[in-house]
Amino acid sequence: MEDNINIIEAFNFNSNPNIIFGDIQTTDGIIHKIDKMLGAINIFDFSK
Amino acid sequence: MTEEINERKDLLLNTIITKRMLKSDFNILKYGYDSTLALNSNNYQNLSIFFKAEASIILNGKSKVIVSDIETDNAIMHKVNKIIPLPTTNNYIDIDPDLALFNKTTTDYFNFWRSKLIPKLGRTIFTVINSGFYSYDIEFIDKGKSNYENAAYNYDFLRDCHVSNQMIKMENLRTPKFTFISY
Repeated sequence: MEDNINIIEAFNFNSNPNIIFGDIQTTDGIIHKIDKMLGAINIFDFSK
Repeated sequence: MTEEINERKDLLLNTIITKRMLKSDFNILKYGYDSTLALNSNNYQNLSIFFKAEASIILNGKSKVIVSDIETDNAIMHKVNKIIPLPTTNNYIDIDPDLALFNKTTTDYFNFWRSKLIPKLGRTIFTVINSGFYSYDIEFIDKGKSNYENAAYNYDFLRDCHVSNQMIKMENLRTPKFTFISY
């Protein structure tokens, strides 16, 4: 971050992954296979 | 003693797939999951079984089918060379080819907190398939970096894939007011 004047622009990766195969049952939990990364992270671009 | 009996019972039930599967069925599908009669003792759901058919059929990554398609009155029997192990999440992430990249970036790095969960409550893992790592313009996997460095770089994404202490089924996800109780 160079200064505080820059506008912080968040690119929200709204990926909406699909579950391509779900309910894989194991002794310690459940696995769901999804086709994209979960979009719970924001990338802040200070370059503009 | 009761636990030991239950484990043995589960190991036996883990050998029975809930539908008729011939060698040719395994070969057509190449790899995938099915259900067995063994139950997860915490949520009473049928355990899955992973099969991979290449030169031979391998079950849960360990047991090899040595004689297949033995017809009996009420089932098809396949002889295996080892006891089919009960599955764990780590086991399936290790052996499922769709999850090779997910496995690469989570193994070792996440073990320290995977082990902290409450065993009775279990966990849910939303595992990203290989192509999912390339679904954005940004690179999630830098081939020049170690697995550990890649895991550190993708920490937030990968952490969000894991829900500790809650076993979330598809029917839960379809319920309108369903909430995550932990992550």
